[in-house]
Amino acid sequence: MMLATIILLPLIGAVLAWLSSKINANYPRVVTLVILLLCFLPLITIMQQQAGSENIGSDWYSHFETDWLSRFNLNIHLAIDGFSAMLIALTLVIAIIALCASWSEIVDKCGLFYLNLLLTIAGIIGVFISLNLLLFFVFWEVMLVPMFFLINIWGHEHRHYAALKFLIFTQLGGLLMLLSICALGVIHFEQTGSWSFDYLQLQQISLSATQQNWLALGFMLALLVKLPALPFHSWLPDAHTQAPTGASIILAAILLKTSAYGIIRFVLVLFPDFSIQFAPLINTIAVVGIIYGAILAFAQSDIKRLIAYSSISHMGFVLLGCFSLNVLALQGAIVQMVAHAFTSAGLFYVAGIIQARYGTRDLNKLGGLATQMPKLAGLAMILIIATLGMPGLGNFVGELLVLLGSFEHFTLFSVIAATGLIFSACYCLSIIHRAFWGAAKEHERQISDINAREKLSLMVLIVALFVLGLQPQYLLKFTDNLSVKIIAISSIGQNK
Amino acid sequence: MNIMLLPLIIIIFGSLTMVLIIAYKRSLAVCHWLTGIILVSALAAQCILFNPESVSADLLLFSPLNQFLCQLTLLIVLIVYWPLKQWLSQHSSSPTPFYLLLLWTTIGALVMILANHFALLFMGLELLSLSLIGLIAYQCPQFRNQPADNGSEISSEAIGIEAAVKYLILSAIASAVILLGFALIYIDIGSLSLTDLHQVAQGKLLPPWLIYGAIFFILGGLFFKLSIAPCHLWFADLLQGAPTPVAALLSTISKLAVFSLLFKLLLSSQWIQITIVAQVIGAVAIISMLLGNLLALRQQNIYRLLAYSSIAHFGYLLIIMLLGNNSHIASEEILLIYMVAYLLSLSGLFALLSLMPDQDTLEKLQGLLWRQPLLGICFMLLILSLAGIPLTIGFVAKFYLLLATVEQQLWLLIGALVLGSIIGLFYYFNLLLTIAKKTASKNTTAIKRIPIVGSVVITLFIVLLGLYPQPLAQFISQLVEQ
Repeated sequence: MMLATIILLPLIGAVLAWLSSKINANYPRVVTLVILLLCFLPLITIMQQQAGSENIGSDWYSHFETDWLSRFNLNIHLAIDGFSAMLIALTLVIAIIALCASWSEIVDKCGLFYLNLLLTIAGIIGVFISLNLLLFFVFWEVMLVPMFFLINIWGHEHRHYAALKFLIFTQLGGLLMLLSICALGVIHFEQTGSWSFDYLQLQQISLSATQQNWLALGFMLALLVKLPALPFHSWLPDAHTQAPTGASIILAAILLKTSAYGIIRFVLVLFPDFSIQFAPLINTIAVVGIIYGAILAFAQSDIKRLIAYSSISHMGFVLLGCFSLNVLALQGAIVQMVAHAFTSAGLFYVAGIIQARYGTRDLNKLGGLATQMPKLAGLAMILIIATLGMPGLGNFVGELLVLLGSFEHFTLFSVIAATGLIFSACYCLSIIHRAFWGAAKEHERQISDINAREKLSLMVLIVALFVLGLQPQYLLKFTDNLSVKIIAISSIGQNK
Repeated sequence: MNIMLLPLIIIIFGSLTMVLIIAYKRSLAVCHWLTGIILVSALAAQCILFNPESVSADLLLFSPLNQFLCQLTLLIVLIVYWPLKQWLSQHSSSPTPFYLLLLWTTIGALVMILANHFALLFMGLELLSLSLIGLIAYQCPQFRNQPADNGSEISSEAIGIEAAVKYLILSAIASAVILLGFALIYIDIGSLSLTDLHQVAQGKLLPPWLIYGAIFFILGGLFFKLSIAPCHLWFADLLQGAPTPVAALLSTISKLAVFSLLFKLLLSSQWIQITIVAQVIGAVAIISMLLGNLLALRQQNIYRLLAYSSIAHFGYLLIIMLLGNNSHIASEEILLIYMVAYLLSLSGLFALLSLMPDQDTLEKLQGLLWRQPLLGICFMLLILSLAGIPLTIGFVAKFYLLLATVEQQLWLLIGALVLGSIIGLFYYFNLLLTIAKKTASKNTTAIKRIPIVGSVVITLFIVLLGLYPQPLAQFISQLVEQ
């Protein structure tokens, strides 16, 4: 029941936020903040109940089951493990950061904005805790539609195009995943005589290699589009650039992570043969994505576009980590997911601040920000350096673990991916150079440095990055057992 | 006499009473309330008399499937009827006969669904078509004038009459062709009862090519009435030209009745077992799915858009004909759930559109969400249901269909279904994009509260069933098992 409240709270909060805008235009954001903070309560309660037990991070706990459509034995099955708990906590933190970023940016139709924001959050949390594949799909779709509206209504100049592109790309993938899910249900029916879309029960069925390949193809297309991996990435720069700051943060920091979650939770476990057979191909996609994203990022002059392409590059590391079939690399992928969530959220926040102050995101029109906004420059510098992969900050741990892990089976990929770090240094330093240093350009507006709210949000992200970089064990212990278990499944397949 | 006939009797006697009342005094209010009472009591009678056993009454067959389809028909007519008074008082100087024609259309549809004999079936079909012709040519709203190619405005009346003539000619030809088909079959098997039709495949008297000819005459006629590709060309013009409530009837109950006949012919009478019939149905389904969605893509008029999307949806529905006997999800089940989902969403959408008859193009719909938030939100949710997005009943229907198709491994059809759905998403979401655009214009026509309540209730129904489809799914699966 606790788990259901984590989803229900944002859903109810969404309606409340919308209704409260009729009373006072300032209420929705307060309601949203309260709701997001309240969401921590059930999460903490669940985690505390489990804190004593040894096997934290390996078992599913706090099951919630109820009938949904008994014709096909579809139940609402929610459960949480260390990995999901960590991602939900991440989602809530990032949601609060996104709320802070939207605090003064969104003035038009405030109620509706927070309605959509909370619906997206509810969808994302749902994705992380549903153990029924169809329910997973439902939440997967539920988070897309409000995001479509966030981009479409509150976005920048080319928002309509970007929103439609985002939706069509992700929906095409989603439909193929739905096909695969249906096929899994049918296979379960043929093998056992009863319908089931339950994740735990679907693990029991045996799939031939051909079946696995086709089914995994449906899943992988949906997940690769969302990740995004080459060649399905073209929606991302548009969507990120055109979305309002808050939506960009959600999109980059957690929406992309749902696909990595899908790969780790479903593809690697349900289709081990596929993972082994196609790992070289997928790793090629990942490595090409790393290099390609970094090179393209270097060529951008729009800050948000630049960060978007850097996301493609960083998510390439996550993909490489997932398909290196190695505990170290998988743990690296998970760390990279979290670290990228913090850096991308921070960078988009900085881009939003710059746009709000200067009215432009064009690096050619910016310059010398360090003299006008020294505090922002300092904080942004740390975030950029974290993106670049500086030791002591979160991204370094993730990238290092991925490279170390992938070196075992996929040496060549690991070597090429490592060169991506050089490229990332290029574009990171170019942002610093072009935006923050140099002569300050004349601006008509009065520029004020960041206020306390903005400072606090960025500080939280930076502290998180330091903690992750210096003591990743806090995070890794949540997913340790899970990684070992997943790799065990994959390597059993390898021996066959 | 069979008690199951009660709903039909209520409507027939009700409409006759209304004729007498109109002869005495033409009053919009009286007709409106009388029609409401007739429809509600017919629906109530249909629900109370619901019999899980099949009851045969001479020429009619009250199978659970037929009874459920009748309930659905009456419900849809009620949805169309709900905002009618406001619409008629705005757009017509002599509104009363509209209600008569509406009731007769309903009788036609009900008879067609229930009929078990060709003579009665044909009567129902003709009653439906002829009443619809009257309705299409009904004095059209002055709002929906269309600029002609040379810049001058064609009067709306002319468009209405053009549409009516188109429908008259095509529907007459289709009826004639169907009649010819049945005549040929009668020569062969010597019976007009639908229960004997499965003997057709054996071919007692006539050569096979003539039997196939007869079958394709009938199917062709039905394709015309259903307006599925390649017999779809008339439908968009018709929806554009007809008054909004009539457009709703044309794309919902008329199609429901014809599709139920097609369903009985192909599945109950097992015509689908004939290889060439199955091949043709498969081809027609694929063409309809792709062509309907592609043509809807660039439409600027919402009625034309809905017309093409309807073609695509009936393309999806044709898939259930090809599922085969060994499917673990009965075709009837998918038929019912899809019909409920699609037709309720569509009729809700039409009810909503008839509240704002001046907004028929995408351009005029711009910013609806901001001008009339409540209507805008209902519109949005109904479109999402048509697009099959989760948490609406549309998704449940799509899931049933997809699951059954995957189970039968009809890959070609699945490919077309997925491709069609994706193209479909493009125009549905383009529509959502349009209504969410910010516009400067603030012209809001005041809309009375009661008609809006109807649309809100339908929307709620669609979302609630999408959230928790259990009751509907349970009911339908029990219905089908018996």
